Amino acid sequence: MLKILKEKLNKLTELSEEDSKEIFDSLKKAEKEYEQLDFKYKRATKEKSVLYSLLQKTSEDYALTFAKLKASEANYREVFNSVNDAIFIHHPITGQIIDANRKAEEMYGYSHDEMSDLDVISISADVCPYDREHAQIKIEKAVEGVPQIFEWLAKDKQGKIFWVEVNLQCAVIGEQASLMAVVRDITERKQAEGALNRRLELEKVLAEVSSLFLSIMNMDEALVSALEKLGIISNADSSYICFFREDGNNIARVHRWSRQPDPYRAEVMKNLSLDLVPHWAEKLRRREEVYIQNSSEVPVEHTRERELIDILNLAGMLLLPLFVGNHFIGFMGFSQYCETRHWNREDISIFRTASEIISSALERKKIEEELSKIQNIESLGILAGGIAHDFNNILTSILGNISLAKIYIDGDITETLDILTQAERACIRAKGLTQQLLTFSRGGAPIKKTGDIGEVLRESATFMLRGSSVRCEFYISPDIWGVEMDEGQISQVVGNLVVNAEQSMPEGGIIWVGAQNYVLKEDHTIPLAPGKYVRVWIKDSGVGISEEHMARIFDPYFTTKKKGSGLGLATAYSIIRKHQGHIMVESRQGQGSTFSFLLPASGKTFRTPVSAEKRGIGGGGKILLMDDDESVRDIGEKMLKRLGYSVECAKDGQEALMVYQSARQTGEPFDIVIMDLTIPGGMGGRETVERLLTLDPYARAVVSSGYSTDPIMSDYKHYGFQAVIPKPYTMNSLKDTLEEMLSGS
Amino acid sequence: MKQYSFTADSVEEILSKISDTMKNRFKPTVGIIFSSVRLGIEELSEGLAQFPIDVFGGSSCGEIMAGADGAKPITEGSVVVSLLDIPPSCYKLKLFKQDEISSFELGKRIGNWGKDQFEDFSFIIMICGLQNDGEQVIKGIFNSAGKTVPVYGGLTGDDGMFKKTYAFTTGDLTTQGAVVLALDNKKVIIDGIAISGWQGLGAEKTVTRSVNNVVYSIDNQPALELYKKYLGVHEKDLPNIGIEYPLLVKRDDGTEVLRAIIGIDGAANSLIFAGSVPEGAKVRFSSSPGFEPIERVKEDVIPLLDKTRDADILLLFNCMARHMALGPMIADEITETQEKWNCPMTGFFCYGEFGKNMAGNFDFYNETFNLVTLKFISD
Repeated sequence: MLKILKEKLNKLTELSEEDSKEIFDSLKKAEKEYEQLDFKYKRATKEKSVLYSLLQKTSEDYALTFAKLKASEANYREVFNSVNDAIFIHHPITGQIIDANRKAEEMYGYSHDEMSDLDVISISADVCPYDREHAQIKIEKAVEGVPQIFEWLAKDKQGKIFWVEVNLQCAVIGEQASLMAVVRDITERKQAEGALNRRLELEKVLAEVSSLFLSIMNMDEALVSALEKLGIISNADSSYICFFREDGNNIARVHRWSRQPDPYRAEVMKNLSLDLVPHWAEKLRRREEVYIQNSSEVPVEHTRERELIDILNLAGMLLLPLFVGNHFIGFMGFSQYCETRHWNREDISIFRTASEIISSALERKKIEEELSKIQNIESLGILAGGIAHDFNNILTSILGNISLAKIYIDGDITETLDILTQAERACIRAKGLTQQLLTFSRGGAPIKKTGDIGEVLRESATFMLRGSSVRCEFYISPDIWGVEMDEGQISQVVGNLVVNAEQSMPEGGIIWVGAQNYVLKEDHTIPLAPGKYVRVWIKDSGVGISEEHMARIFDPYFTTKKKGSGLGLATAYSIIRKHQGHIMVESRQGQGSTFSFLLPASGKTFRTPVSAEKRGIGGGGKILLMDDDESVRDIGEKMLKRLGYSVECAKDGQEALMVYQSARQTGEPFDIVIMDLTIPGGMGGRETVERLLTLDPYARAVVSSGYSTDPIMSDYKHYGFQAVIPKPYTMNSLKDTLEEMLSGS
Repeated sequence: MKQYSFTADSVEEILSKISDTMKNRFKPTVGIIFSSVRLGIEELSEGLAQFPIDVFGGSSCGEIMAGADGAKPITEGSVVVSLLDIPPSCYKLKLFKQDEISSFELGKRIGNWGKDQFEDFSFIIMICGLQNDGEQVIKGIFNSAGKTVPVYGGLTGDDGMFKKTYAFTTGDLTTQGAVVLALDNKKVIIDGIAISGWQGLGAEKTVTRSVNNVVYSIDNQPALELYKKYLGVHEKDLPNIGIEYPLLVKRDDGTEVLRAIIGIDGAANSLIFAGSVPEGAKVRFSSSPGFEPIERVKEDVIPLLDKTRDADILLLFNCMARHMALGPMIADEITETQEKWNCPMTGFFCYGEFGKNMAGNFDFYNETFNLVTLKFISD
């Protein structure tokens, strides 16, 4: 177009080439500008339409997005406020609270507007380590991107302090870096933790207390150590254990721990007795605890208890009974003096368990002591047994000869007879000594018969006091029950007790000896089953026994005498025990002592024996006597012949069987065989009777031994014997035994 | 290096001019040719076979030539030719026919071929635009040749018809593959810059369904419908108008890239983009803010100018969307740039560009002014 225009211009105006070119260039430029303008216009028009549409749609999008955002914001708010934990949004540097949810308002007691004026320290306890300095450390770590989870002490609007768990982390909220804290009230959890920790502490102490008593080297030390541990864990001002005397009423011994030195209260406790606190005593005897949480809650009518509370200035107290078996031996206690600190059921349960541990330990200790006593006694066994056996054989000979001499003496030789009688008595005393030794050797199983305890008391006491400045008075019930007893052993007991009583009154005095029927009811102080017993007591007015010795008087080898074996009371203890009885003592220094013992009553009647000398001498029959000791065979033969029996002897079981068999075969059998139990180097009584009975099932055998401890002696029938006669035996005992056998009774 | 650049309007004219040039003792070894599809690419390719020239050719959506005598910066329906006598030792050329392999695999093969040619090399590539995903092609190249290999070039065009584009060389062509020039970096200094200037518009949306460069739904709405609704246009206006308002895609690594529509599928209600638009990607509409992109080009080429002021030739792969959006003003962008270097510039309006952005990253772009400078070092 421009070209055409240019040509036309040239023709029209006769312009120069240069001018034409200039005009052409201008036109070209104008064309270009027009083209550009035209394009711009068209583009603008197009863009107006397109961009308008785009903007409109975008506006709609934004409106929709805004609506969604609003809804999302509303949802967020709902979620924010519905969460059961407190949520704070706060400034990462200043700690200023930017936002808080409804739970935060409830938890801390501030309104939403009030929260905006606070920072995180305002709602903290602000005590180390829950203060600004420590809060800042956690904030800085959270800002670095390390989430922090920790427990914190918070404070509400009222100033109440409570435990919370905080989960703190960085969050970008509203395009701004903030810190978000999710806070949970953990008061209940802390309480539960506290209770659990308390429980664990208590059980740990319980375990420690228990281990103290596992192997007790020193009971007193163990008790004091236990009291200290229990006292500390219980937050008591003092803890203590009181043991009663035998009377079960007065305090004999006190072990005590105290936070502060407290000699006044310690002294008061030593002189306490349960009489002073009868209501508490009743509860304790029923195995119930006594818990005074507040001294003001003690009933007004409990005057004695209230007096004691005043004397000791008690604010609170817990007492727990101590029992060994059925014995109420004392109590354990915890006291608070100035301020009451509450013990809950769990605490009391733990303390009760501790008291039971201590009770078990005491019981075990007592058993060990008993066992030790027995072992001590048993330790003499072997030696004593051997000596006693030999001694008995000798005594058998002596006694036998004396018995015969008394019979053979003609005429009125009163004095000689008297001398022989004294010799006999001396042998009996010697026998008593061997009995004592044998009792020690293996405890000496009693060979019991129903007897008259009164007779034993009179004989033994009178015998022991011959030639003494001390006299005896007897108080024996006329209708006294019979007692199943080994007379020899009971005589020993009486003799030992009377000797001790006599020796406690060097200037002379009176010993009262009594016996009465006694029905034992449920008694926590006497370790015997309820039932019928005979009670014997021997009372003196001598020097008495000191408190420090009381616990040891029945120990073997324990003696306060310059020349004493220390076995007398130990023997008496052992014998009474083996009779299923119980021996007790009451004594005060300077006021004399009373020893008493209970023996089970027998349902049988007893028969008073009559002296063989008086009864006259009977007999008739053939006896085979087997003993390894020649002297025993000799005297035994003489005694049997004196009694009217024909006698043959054998030195051991083998010979006895040959003789017995031979006699049968010749048509002159033996009626009875008396066998020594122990034949060193040969066949003893046990084996011999077995073979004898095989040979002759109707053979009648008597076992004789100086070992009254041998079980065959106490249970002879089981082994095939029909009777038993311990050595040394008298004419009477020999005669009675044989007559009984021959009569078939 | 000697060069001769010219514009022609027919195959006969090209062949005649090349013949005349070779008679004048100028023995070019390489011919860079960008041609309108209206000229007949097949005829052109066959006609070029008579000359001992390695042809690097592609169909266009408008031709660019500046700095040649009498040349208009922008022509349409024509062909631009730059003949260069560069030593054969510093380049290798190959036509890749796609053979129904994926775009990624095409790129891998290109990369592997390049590695076999030179130890240290750069690529100038022309990829048939309608059949390939430019992003996948360059990923394939990086996969085989390494991420540091420079890749420049563009997607061939077809005058805005979006029906068939060509890559061609002497006696051979492809409508689905690529023609590739590998240059020895020891003998050729090659550099470039890709500059856009488009800015995002509107609210961010999410690509809810897509497969490679085909987007089916955005914000769970059919992509085609959404485009029509938001731009207020009819289906017949797409993809053309859509090219001016590409999607600004935010990738997972935080980078942003423009993706222009190069086709639509009315039946599927989907849009076909010049490069991948991953499912789940955040996208916004975008537009050129007035004519600011032109001003931006004038400023942003300065750093490249400082480095390559002595370039022998400039190649320009300019997005056809820029032509549509900036209209006749785009000529200023071209001429002023060429005047800065004062050396011949040849190029075309393409359907997508391969080049280096301001951050130095090689990638596949849309809506960019993608300038390449070449300096051949004499032996």
